[in-house]
Amino acid sequence: MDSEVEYVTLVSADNHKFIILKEVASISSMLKSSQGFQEGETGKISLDMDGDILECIVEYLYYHYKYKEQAETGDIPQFNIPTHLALELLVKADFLDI
Amino acid sequence: MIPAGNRRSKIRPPRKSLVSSSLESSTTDPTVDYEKSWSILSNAIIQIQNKSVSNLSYEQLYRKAYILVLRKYGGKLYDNVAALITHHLLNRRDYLVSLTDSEQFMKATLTEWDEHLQSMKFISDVLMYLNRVYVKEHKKLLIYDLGIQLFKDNVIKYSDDQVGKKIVEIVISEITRNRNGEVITTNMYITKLINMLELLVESGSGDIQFGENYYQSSFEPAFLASSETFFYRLSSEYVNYNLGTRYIQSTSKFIKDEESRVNFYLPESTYPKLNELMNNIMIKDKIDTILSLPYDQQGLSYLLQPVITNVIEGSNERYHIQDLKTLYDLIGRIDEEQGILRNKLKQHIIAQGEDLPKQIRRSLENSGEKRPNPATFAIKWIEAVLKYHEEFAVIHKESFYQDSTVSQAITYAMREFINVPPSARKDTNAVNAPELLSIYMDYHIKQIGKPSPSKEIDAINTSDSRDYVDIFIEKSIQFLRFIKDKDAFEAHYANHFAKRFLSSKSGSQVISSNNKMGIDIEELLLSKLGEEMGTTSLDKIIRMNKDIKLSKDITTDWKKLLSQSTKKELIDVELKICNVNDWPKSMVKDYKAFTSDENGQTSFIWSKQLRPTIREFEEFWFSGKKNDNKSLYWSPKFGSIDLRITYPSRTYDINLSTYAGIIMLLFAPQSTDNYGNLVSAFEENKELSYEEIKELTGIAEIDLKRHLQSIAVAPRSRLLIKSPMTKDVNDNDRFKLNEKFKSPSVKVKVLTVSAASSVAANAQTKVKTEQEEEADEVKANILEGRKLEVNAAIVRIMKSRHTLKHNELIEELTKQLSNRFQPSISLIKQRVEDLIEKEYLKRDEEASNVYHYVA
Repeated sequence: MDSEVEYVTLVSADNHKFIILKEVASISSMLKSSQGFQEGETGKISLDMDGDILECIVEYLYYHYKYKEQAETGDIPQFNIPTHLALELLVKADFLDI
Repeated sequence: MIPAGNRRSKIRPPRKSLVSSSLESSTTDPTVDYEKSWSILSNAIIQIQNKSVSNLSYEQLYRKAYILVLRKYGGKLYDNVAALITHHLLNRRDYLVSLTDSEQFMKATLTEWDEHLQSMKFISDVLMYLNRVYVKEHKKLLIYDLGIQLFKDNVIKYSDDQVGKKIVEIVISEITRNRNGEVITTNMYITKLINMLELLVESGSGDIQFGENYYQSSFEPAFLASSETFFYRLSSEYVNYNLGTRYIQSTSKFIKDEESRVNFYLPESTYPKLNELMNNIMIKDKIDTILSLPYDQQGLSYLLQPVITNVIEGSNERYHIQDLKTLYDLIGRIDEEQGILRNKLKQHIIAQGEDLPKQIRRSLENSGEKRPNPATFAIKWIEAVLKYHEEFAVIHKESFYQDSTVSQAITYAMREFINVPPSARKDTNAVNAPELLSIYMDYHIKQIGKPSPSKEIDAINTSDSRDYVDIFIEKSIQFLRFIKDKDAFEAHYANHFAKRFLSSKSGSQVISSNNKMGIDIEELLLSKLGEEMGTTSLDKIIRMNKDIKLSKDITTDWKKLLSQSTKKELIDVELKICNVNDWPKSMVKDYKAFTSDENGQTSFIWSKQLRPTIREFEEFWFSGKKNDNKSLYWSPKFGSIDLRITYPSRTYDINLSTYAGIIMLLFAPQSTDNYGNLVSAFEENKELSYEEIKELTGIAEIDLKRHLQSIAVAPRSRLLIKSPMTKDVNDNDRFKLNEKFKSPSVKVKVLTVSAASSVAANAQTKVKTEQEEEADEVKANILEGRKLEVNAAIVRIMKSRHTLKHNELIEELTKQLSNRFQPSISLIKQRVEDLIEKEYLKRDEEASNVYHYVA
């Protein structure tokens, strides 16, 4: 696989950039689908959400990526969601189809 | 991450502005907002359909659709998308319809289909949120599936299936071209188009079943119909070759090709339907005609001809093994049981088998034997039948995959032609298998019994002769298994067995020559036959064999006694003492005729040279009360005498039949000269008339003439001179010793002129020949034996069943007796009547077809 496209950059509305593994981004089917379009060419996906929310989402994606193998056994640490972001995260998760 | 609990802050509500900044203003007028969003989305869709995806921002489009769905515009969006796609597809359809070249059309259709699927994938990505929320809730087709549905309705089926029909027509015509042997370049298109048709699933409106795809509903029926026509045309073309092998080869090849064609192009579900069509039209309807084609059109008779050629000419042709195998495969496609093949094989085997005797006679005639004797024919026929069986074993192995039902049919058919029922033996070529087998075995037993010419190399040959014996026994038993009327075989075998013993020059010699191999061939055969048929049925022969052993023992005892005796006039005797009840009637029936005079018959007169020995033996026989309850009769019909006669040329040891010996003894010197020495017979020069000989010996006329012929007419053994010198013996002929008798060797064996030829000479005397008499007797024995066996079987059955209907009884009887013979219905009826008369059975008083056992 081409090393350049192994990473994608997620850009928040307030211009925070998160460079994450494409494979990790693909956990969200919305992010995955975007790869056929312009976003696939530029390697950059602009998202209409704040940096803190996006940070939390990226953390979750990595958490999911890391533990998906063990998900069956249930032997995984809890993922903590900052309480004040909970509601907004819920909406964004629906948007991203996570 | 900071634990949530530590902050204890309020949950922040989602920022409205982030959901959609443009929504702020449009909450009051959402319609305007929809139009705006839709125009962006519809433009994007058109762009996607024009294959320029890479300058579209997915995030924006996705968000537009997302918002529309959130704002409950899902339904509207869905319908608009459908309408937009429909519009696009109708345009593309017009383009397809405009294409006239079929290959171009196929290619273009596939391109449209591929591109459509590709764009539908992108559209479906953009409308992912619509799929997830609206489609799910309203149980609509997913966008992608909607796309396929729309393709089917607006491209393929639009305007009365215009495009669909064209596809079906083109694909079928391409496949037909391929069937005709043309190389087609559209293979990949065909496969892909068929895949496409399979994906076009019907939504279940009207008379079309739900879930059925366009392939099943439209392509397959059309394809099968065209295939049917094609198969009919092709197979009648093959049949019209009027050449069996060509049909078999062409059909097999076409079927093979068609199978790989079908596997390549069509889904598995079509295969069984097509296969059935193909098998029915190309094989089932035609195979009977093909197999029945005459020889020159290469029907089955042609394929099986090498079998006969191999058997008769001893060649080893393997011409049609492959065709027969192909034939088996073809028939196997329509009938796993191979019913047609089995029936046809049976017919042909029976026909070939019935023709065998004629062919053998012809080949015997060609090989120069003017009057083939029965033994030669029997040997040839038995060998031929066994070879025939071997030939079929090869075909069975090489062509018929050792199919056991086919092998059964072969065996059945062979039994059919081997066992020609006596009633059907009118034709001279019809065979009497039980008798022929017995003749065959008789011939070989005699061969084995003959001392081999070079005794020195016997040690080396032992294994060879052992093989010969084994092969012979194996062949005999193998053939015996084909014989239905085993009882008839037994009767013939008993007859031959008795003859072998009684006419052997010396019983012990036959045995001793076998002893070198450590076996007695007769014993060995008896035990083998016993294994095969059960010892009870061989009862008679076994008892005869006992007599033989007993005779040997008595001979040994007698010889011992003789060596101690001082009486000079006693002569060496080899004894053969037979119990008249067990030995064939034709041989023993007149045993009393030679001693009693009751009915005025001329009684036989033993030569005076023999009488002391006879007396002495009788004394020995009855001594010690061994044989108190038996009586002993001497029969001159059998056996032989060794005479040493000094002719002027030299002294010869002559072996001749008892009758001939006794005639010769009449010419032995009787008088003594002046010094008390015996005068030479030639000095006496005795001359006797036919009448005198008849009187002096008491030999019955037929036998007398026959034996006189043997010693006075037959050129090699002319011990006597007959005057006048004619071929036949007449009543006023005169006989005297032949002074000029000469023979190359010291030992001379006088062969008795066969009864048939001596009678032929006396054609006027309408007496049955010995052989005919024997044959009649064997026949009578068989019939008599059957009566007893049927009686016994009926009683056995009725004893256990008590009451039976007529038909059940017949069925049971046939089953029980099947390995002995086939009882005829009239015989059974007759036996039942007999048993009713004897009060073993009685008829039911009401139902006349029911029998009861009377205890």
